[in-house]
Amino acid sequence: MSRQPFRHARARLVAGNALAYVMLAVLCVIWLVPVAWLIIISFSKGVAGIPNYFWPKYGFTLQNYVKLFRDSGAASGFYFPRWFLNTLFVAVCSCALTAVMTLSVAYAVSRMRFRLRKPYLNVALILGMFPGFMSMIAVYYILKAVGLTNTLVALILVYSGGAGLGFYVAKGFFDAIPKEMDEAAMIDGATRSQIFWRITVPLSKPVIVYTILTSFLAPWADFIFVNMIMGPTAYKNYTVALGLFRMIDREHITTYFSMFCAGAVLVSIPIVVLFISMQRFYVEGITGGSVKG
Amino acid sequence: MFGNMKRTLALVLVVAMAVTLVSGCAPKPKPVVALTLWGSQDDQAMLQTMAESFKAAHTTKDYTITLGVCGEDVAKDTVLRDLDAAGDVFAFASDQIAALQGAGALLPVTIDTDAIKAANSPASVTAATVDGQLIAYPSSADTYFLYYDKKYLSDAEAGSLETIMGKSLPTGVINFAMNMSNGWYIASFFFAGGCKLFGPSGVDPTVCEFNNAGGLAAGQYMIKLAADKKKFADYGANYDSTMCQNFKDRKLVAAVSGTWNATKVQEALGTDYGATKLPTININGSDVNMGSFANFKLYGVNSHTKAAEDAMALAEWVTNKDNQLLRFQTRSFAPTNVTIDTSTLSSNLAVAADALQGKFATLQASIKQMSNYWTPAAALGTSIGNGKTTNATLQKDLDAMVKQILAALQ
Amino acid sequence: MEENRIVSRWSGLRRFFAALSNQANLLGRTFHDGDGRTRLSFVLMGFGNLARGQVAKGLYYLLSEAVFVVYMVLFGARSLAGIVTLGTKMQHIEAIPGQVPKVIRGDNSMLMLLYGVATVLLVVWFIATYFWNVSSAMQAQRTVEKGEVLPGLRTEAREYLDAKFHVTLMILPVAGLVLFTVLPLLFMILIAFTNYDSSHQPPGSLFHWTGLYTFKALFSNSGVLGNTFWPVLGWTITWAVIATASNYVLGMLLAILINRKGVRFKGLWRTVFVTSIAIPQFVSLLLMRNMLDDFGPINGVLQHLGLTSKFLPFLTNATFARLSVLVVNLWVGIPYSMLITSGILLSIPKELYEAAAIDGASPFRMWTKIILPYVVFVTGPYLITQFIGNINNFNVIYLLTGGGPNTVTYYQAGKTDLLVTWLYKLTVNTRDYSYASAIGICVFIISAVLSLIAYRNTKSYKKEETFQ
Repeated sequence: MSRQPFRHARARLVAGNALAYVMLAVLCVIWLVPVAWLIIISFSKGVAGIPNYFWPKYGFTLQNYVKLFRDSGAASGFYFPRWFLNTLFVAVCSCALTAVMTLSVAYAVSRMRFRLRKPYLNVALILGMFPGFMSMIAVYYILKAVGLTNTLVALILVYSGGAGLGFYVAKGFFDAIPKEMDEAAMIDGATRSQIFWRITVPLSKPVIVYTILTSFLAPWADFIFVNMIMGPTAYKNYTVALGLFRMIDREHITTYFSMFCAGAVLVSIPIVVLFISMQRFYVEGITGGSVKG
Repeated sequence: MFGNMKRTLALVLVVAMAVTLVSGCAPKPKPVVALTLWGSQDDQAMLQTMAESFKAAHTTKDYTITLGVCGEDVAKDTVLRDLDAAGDVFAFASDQIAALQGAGALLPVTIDTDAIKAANSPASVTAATVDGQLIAYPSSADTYFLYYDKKYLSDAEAGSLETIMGKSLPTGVINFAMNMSNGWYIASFFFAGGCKLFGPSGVDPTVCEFNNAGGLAAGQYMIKLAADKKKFADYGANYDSTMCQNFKDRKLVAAVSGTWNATKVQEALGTDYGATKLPTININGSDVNMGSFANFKLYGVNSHTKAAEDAMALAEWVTNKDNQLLRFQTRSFAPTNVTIDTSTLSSNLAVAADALQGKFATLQASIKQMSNYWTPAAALGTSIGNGKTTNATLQKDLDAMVKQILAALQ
Repeated sequence: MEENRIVSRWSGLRRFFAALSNQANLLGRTFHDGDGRTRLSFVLMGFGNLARGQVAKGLYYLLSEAVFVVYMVLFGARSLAGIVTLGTKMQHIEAIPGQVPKVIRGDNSMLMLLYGVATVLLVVWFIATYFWNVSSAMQAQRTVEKGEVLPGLRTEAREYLDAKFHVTLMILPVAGLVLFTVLPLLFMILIAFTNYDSSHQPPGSLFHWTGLYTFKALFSNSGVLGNTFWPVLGWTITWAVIATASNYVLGMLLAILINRKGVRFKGLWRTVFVTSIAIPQFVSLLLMRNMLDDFGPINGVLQHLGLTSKFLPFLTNATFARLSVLVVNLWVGIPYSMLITSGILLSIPKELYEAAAIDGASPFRMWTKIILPYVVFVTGPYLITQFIGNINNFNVIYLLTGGGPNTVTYYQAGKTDLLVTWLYKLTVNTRDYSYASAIGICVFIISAVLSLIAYRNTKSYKKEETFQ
């Protein structure tokens, strides 16, 4: 096989490449069709309910986007711009909080040795295996006890409250940083805190970006906890996920489906841009730094 | 010039005196009462009007009324999550009354009880009553009936499902659409078959007749109907929107739905818009009218409200004659108030059809078992729709459905 | 191996009790050895530290005691009693015609249980603080006896940035964990042993402890719940196995395709697939649901082109629906596994390829003998997480089919329901909390057993062991 004439092998390579391109192209189409449909419908005129066509029947319009902003208010009950800013606010705060807490825990269990360390690792593993929303109702009453229901602060707390469990990826990363660096610094009189801030953190860019990215995305996707925390009068404190979800209730879908699509496009754009630009760190983060993307 | 000035001066003096009177020597300030009123998204503007008129009519107290968005269909879930944070007055669909009552969420109606009972239809009062006690304020009646396109169907033809299905039409046009994969609608056939959901009394949680001989006949009818995919359609999860779309495209002759779609269907069909009671179907050799579930939109007062008296007054206000009329005018909801002039109502085709169908409607039982009904009934409808339930397996599936409906976990 | 593990579990338990008796011993010894000031710390917490000039520390202990005592007197004692009874007084409404009804509030079993659990956690924290207080008093006494200077506030505070830095690092995350995960979970686990279901809803009625009744009903072969639980469990496992394996293998194939020598614009191809990850799942999945609707665009186009005469029941027929969720899950999941494996493929040591090429291996052999084992080896833990993730894959099922199509043979569940989505429906639709909670415990046990078996055999865990 390996002794085949050069030209023959080359032909095979070209044919193979052509096949690869065709397959990739087909797959890309499959992956992009829903995205394309979303965008097309968001620009479509006269959509009533779920269209049973791909290409708009009644032409294109920008109205769906315009309406999202113009009709925001008490009359329609949809506050898209406000919801968008809410989500952004919650996402920024909770990802900052989550990142700090996750890295703290990861550093502590990776670098320091203390009595409760092993039990903590085991308990964290166990806690992570219960379905999260099982205990929603209790979370609600705990937030109520401290008077935080219907507030965005509650959302930030809920999204970053589990940070103590999500340290495994970061811990793997820290484990891979040579201990000798710490020891050398300690000989120079540095405290643990100084080592953490001045040596470990600067070396951990991929995992920091990974943690920030994943926790930034959570508020854009969650609709269960928001629904729990925000009561019927806290309409203005919804996040986009719940707001968009409401747009396609049985009650609303006929009127709002194309606006839902427009809203979804607007939500997706920043996330897609963020994700694509941070792709490399994502891979490095999730594979524990052992692999470069 | 001077005269003008004098007048101004006099005015200033009067105003100043008035201000002193009001602020200084005025009697004690009016008590401030804050109330929360929950209703569905589409009702918000209307509820705002009602809240304003309530404030105008009750000047002895200083009311602030906050609105909340909570659909009638999910009121139970939201209210019971935390009763202390729920609206003082909230709208809900009558099938949730047993669950709400069981959780101790509703304040009994003890003021103006007789007047409310007299003013509203007996069926709506029954739907708002548990254990002989009126515990909610009836506001509107909801059932389903037939919308049809007069381009294809005459008024007389709309009276019989066999006639509707028998029409030969251009290809791609559906004769009849119904959301059979939904428990609310599928009951229609069983009622036509003479079955009772919860025994003869309607509130016996241990009896369900949907698997008797009448139920079997109803099931067979549905199987035959559903198999005719060229003429019959169940638009499934997106039923309402797909139905409206197809009426608009003139690809649908007749469909079962309720008043909440009236405006959209009328827009879609224009002058060919028609609405009437459900048609008759031929079961066991005789023509019987299709039955339906009667649902009522009720307003309840939260038992944990801090201002019971005011909340009760507000609930009574939003369901009184004038506001039922307002609801009819703005939202096309059929009032339960019997003192409203019927000629006013008959001008609205959908509401008239709703009232007409009301004679064949069965009340949703005010027992907890009712909440067990929806999922298995929908399951049977889906199974018939996709052809999995055949005449051979029908009895078995009906038995299974009844077992699920009557299932008591503890 | 297996025995060792069990032995180590037992020894862990033994160690725990040994530590407990150790603490008790320590208490006795301290009382025996302590002087008056130290002994007074047994009653008046922080006294030993206060009396020896460690004001901040002493005050902290004293304040803890004060807060705890006040809390217990005002509230805690009642809460602890409440956890036993779960309430005795029912809400009562007096309805007298013509008068505003009087509501006499009763006990709320749910809140009593929640506050009870919170109080138990507080008691645990207090007991720990108590021990720290005693040992801190003794330590202070010893230091003074030795004639050394007691560390001041500043010195001790500095400790928390150095030797005790882990305390500083972990206090906030652990507090968050206790408040938002541990407390709610303990509460929810306990619910499984009560009859908090649709007919026992507070505040209108009370619920009580019922022992293992919920589990018996769930596991029974005859009841409606048992008839639902076992088939749903079966589908959950089937789904998790197929979804994990298919995503993984196909994702890797895609990665190989993109990373093939000679294929250009690698970044572009990758970006296209990554786009689908970045769109929030509720958007893409709800969109898919509508596309796959009986009257949605896919069926519309198929019929328009004359490929089918009537619609295909993508989501309304059990078999179709199960296939649909698996296929849509590929759309969601392949890009992830492509990203992960793509990185790993690039890191495969060149020598492995070269060795294989010299042996004259075919591409297929190369894939099965070299690439797959290597990638599986490196991504082992990821694969386990994915499997557990799929057992708990709420989004794909709930948003796409809502568990449907429903079936008359299941209780409040459909043919594509996983245990988690069924659990969700039971809490939200029918408010059968006790059953939902029992199902949650089952999901946990399945995940825990699987990951214990798999995780402890992976490289990272073993390495972790050697750390000790």
